[in-house]
Amino acid sequence: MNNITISLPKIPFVENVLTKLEFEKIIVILSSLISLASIIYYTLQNEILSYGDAESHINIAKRVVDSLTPGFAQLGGVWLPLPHLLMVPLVWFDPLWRSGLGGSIISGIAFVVSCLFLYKLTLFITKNKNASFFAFLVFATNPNILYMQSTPMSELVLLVFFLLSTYYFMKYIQSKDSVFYLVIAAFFGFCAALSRYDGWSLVLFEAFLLIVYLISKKASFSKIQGRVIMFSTLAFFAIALWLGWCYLILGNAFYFSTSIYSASSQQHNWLGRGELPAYHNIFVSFLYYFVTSMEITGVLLFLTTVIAIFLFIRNKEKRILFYVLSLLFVPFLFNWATLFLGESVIFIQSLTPISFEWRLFNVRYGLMMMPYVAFILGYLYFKANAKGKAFLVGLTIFQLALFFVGYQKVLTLSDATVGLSASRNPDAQLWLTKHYTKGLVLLDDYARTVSIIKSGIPMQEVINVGTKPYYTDSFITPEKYATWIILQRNDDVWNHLYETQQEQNLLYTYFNKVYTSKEILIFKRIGS
Amino acid sequence: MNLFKHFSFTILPYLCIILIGLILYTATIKGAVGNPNGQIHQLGLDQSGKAFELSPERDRYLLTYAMATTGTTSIPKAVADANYSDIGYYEGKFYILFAPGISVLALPFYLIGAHFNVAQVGTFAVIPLFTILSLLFLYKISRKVFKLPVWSSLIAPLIFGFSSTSWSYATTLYQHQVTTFLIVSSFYAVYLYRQKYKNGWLLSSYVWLAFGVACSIDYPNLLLMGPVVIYLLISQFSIKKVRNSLSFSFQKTLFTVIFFLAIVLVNAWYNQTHFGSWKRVSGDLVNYKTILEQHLLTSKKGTAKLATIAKNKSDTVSFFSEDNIPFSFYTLTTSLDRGLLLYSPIFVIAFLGILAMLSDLSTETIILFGLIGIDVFLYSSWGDPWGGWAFGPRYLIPAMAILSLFAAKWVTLAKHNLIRRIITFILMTYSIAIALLGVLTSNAIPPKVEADYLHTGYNFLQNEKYLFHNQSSSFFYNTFLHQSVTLPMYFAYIYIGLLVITVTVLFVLPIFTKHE
Repeated sequence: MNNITISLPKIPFVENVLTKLEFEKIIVILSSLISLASIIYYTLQNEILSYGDAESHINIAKRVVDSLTPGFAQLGGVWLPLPHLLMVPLVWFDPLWRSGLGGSIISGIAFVVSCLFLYKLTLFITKNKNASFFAFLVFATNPNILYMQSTPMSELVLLVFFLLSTYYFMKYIQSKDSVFYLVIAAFFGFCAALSRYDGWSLVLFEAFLLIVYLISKKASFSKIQGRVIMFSTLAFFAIALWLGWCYLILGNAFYFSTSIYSASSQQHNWLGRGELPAYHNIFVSFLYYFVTSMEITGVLLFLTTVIAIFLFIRNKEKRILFYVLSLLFVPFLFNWATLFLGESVIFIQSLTPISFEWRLFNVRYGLMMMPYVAFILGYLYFKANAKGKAFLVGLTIFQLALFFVGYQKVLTLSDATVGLSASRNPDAQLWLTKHYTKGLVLLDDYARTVSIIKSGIPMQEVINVGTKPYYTDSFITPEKYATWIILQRNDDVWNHLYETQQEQNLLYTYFNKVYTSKEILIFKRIGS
Repeated sequence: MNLFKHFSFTILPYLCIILIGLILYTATIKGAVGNPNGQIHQLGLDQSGKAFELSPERDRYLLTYAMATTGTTSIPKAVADANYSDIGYYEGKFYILFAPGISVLALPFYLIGAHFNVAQVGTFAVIPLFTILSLLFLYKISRKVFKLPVWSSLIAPLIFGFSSTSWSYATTLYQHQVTTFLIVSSFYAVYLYRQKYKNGWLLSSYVWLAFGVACSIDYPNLLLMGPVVIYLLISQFSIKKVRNSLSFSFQKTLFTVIFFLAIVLVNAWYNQTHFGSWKRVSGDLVNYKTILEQHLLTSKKGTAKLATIAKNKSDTVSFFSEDNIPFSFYTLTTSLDRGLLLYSPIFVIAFLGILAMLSDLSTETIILFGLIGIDVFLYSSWGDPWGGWAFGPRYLIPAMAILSLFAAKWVTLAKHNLIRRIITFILMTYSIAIALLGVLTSNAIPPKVEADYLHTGYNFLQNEKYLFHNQSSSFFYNTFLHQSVTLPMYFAYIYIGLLVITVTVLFVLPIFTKHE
C-alpha cells in the first residue's frame, strides 16, 4: 500500500453541537469580541482620533449638548447629521468624548449589526449557513474595516444602514410584494441618506430597481406608481429634510454643496492647482476608485470578485443575485461619478503622481465595496466544490497574511497617520495642555488649528464658527468674550484679527502674545 | 503504414521541435569566439549588442569563470574591481548579487566551450538547451493534458519559442528559461503522477528536486513554482468521510519532500558560511559600486558607515508592494516600452483561450491559471517591472509559456477554425518579427523614463536601428556570415523560414491530420 491513512472518529457530541449551531448568535458574539479587541488595540495605540475628521465628527456631537450655544443647530450643514445624533448620548460624558470612545462605540455597534445583516443577506440568497458565515469572516477580518469601526467616523454607520436597507429590499422582492418589507427598506434607506451622501445614491437606485422589478413582474402602472411613491416618500424624505434644514438654519438649501466648508469648494482648490486628476476624465475616475477599492478590500479578494462576475453572467445565475449585486455595487457608481464630477477627491500612492503635494487622501471611501466583495466570495463559496472552498479559504488567509507582513498596507490607518486626512499635533497643543487654565477660547475650529480634545479645553469654553454671535462679535471686539485667542496663519481668526497692522494694534491693546511659532500664535487677555 | 503513422504522430513532432530549436538558437545565440577572462570591460564585451551588454549575464558568467578558474564561489578582487556594477561585498569577499544556480548549471558547458576557445558561447549554450526541453514539454502538455491534435500542439512551442520575447532570453545567460523549464516539466510530472503513472516516487522526487533547484536559480521561484507544489500536494493528500469517521490519507511519496529540504539546507548553509546568516541572500549584500563611490574601505569612518549601510539595507522582499501593482501591471502588459501585448500581440488569443476555458475548469486548468496569475501578480508588485534594461517584459517569460498553451487551445476550440488560424497567423507574423528583431540585435533597451533622458529609443524601434546598422549580437552571424550577408538579409532568411514553418503548422498539417 502506498497510502498512510489516519482515521478520526466523529464525535457525536461535536456533531450535535455543530448541527444545532445558531450562527446568528455566534456572529453577534464573535463580531462583538472582534470589535472590542480592535477598539482596545487602537485606543492603546492612541489612533482612534488620528483622523482629523474623527475629532470633528465627535466635536459636532459634543457641541449639540455642551457648548456655548448648545442645540441641534450645532449639527451644521455640511456633514449629514445622523452619525452625530447617534453619538450625542455618549459624548455627553466627557471621558467618552475626550477619548473618542463615544464615537467608537457607535461605529462598533454598526460593525456588529453590519456583520449580522451581511450574514443574513448572504444566507437569504444562498440558503447556506457555511457560505454566509464565510462572507461574514471575509468582512469582519478586513483590517481596514477593523480600524474604521474603532473610530468616530461615519463610514460604518452608513454601511450598516446600507446593508439593512439592501437586506429588507431583497426580502420585499423575495416576498412577492410584501409592503411591510418595502417600508422597512425605505426606512433604513432614509437612515442611510441621513448618514452620508452615498446613501442618497442608494435610495435613488433602490427606487429605480423597484421600477425594474415591478415591470419585470408585469405589474400595472398604478401598482408601480403606488409602490414607488410609498418607497420614495419615506426614503427621499431624508433628502428633503436635509435640504429644508440647510435652508432654514443656514439660508441656503444647497449649503452642503456650495459653502466654503463643503467638499466641493475644497475640490476647486485642488482643481486650481491642477491636482484633481479624475476630474472630467471617465477612465481615470474609474481607475482611481477601482484601485482604491482593490487596495482597501484586498487585492486578491477584489480581483477574484471581478472574475466571479464574469462567471455569474456566463452561467446565467438567478436574477435575484443580480439585484443584490447591483445594490451592493451602488457605492462604486456613486464614487466614480463624484470623482468624475469633481465633487470628491482621492489620492492614492499607486496612481497619484509623485509631483503632487499629497498622495494619500480619502482612501477610506473604498471601504464601501467591502460588503460587495464579502457577499460575492460567500456566494462563490456556496457554488464551489470542496477544493474550491478550500481554495477560497486559503486565498482569504493568504490575503490576511499579506496585510500582516506589510506587503499590503492598512491604507485607512496610513491615511489617518501620514496621509492628508491625518490630524496634526502642533507644539501649540502641548503648550495649551500645560498653560490653559480657564476662560473662553476663540479659534477657527474648521481650520483645525489645535485639537480641542487633546489640548484639554472644555467644549463649553470654545468660541468657534458655530457659536454665533460670540464668534462674529469677537472679530469686532475680540476682548469682549475671549480670554484666549488661537490663530493659525491664514485661518479665519488670523484673517480677521491679524491680517493688517490696524488689526494687530487692536489685538495687542487687550492681549499679550504668550506663544509663538511659525504657523500658530496664542494670545491671552491682559490681566486675566 | 502503422509504423509510419506512429512515427509521424509520436516521434516526428519531437524531432522537428529539437531540430528547429537547434537551428534557430544556434543562429541567434549571443556571443563571440574566445575565452573571456574577468577583464570584460577592457575587452569591450560589455557594449550594447555584445555578449555581456548587461550585468545579469556578465555577473553570472563571472561566477562560472571564478568557479572554473579558482574553485570558489567568490569573485577575485581584480575581477570585481573591473566589473563592479552588480557585485556585492561581504567581509573582504565579492559575490554576484544574483542567485548562483545558473552559474553552477553553466559550469560544465563553460569547461567544454573553453576547450574549443568558445567559453562564453559554451556557457550561454546551457540556456537554449533548457529552452528546447521546455518546448518539448509544451508540446507534450498540449497533446496529453489539453488533448489537442498534433498540428495545434505545435502552436504552443512555436509561439513561446519564436513568437515571444522569450527568444531573446533563450540565447543569453538569464534565469528565465531554466525557470520555465522547471515549471512546465514539474507540472507535467505531477500530471503523470495523478494519472497513476508508474514511477510515482521518481516523479514526486523530480518535482521536489526541481522546486529546490528553482529556488537556487532565482529566489522568487519559491512563489512562482507554488502552484505546481500545491498541485502535487493535493495529489498526495486526501480527506474522506467514511461512515462514522474522517479519513486523512497521504501517499508515501510525500516523503520525497526530503530532496527539496536537502537543497534548502544546502542553500541555507551556503548563505550562513558566505554571508553570515542563513536568511541573508546575495541580493541583500551591499553593492561594491556604492563602496567604491563612497570610499568606504579606505578609512575607519568609512568602514563604520559600511557596517551601518549593511545593517539598514532593506531586504529584497520589501521591494514587493501592492502600491506598485497598477503601474507595474500596466508596464508589463500594455506600456510602450515593455508591454506584452505590444511586443507579442499573439497573446491576445491566449486571453481569449483563458476566457473560453473558464466554463470548463479542471484541476490542471486551475493550476495553469495559477501559474500565470502568480507570475503576473508577483512582478506587478515589483518596483522595477522593466527588468532594468531589457527587451520586452522578461519577468513574464514563465507566464508566456503557459499562455502559449491557451493560445493553442483557442485556435482549436471552434469546429471550423480557419478564421482563427488566419487571425493567429497574422498575429504571429508581427510577433515573430519583433522577437527576431530583439534576439538578433540587443537586449539593452532602456525603460522609457531613462530613454527620454538619454534621447534614445525605448522599445523595438531601437532594435530596428541596430538592425539597419548591422549591429548584431549573434555569434553565428558575426563569426561566419557578417562579411557575406547583411544583417537585414540574415533577418529576412530566418523570418521567412519561420513563416513557412508557421504556415505549415497552421494550414498544411491540419489537412493531413484531419482524422484526429
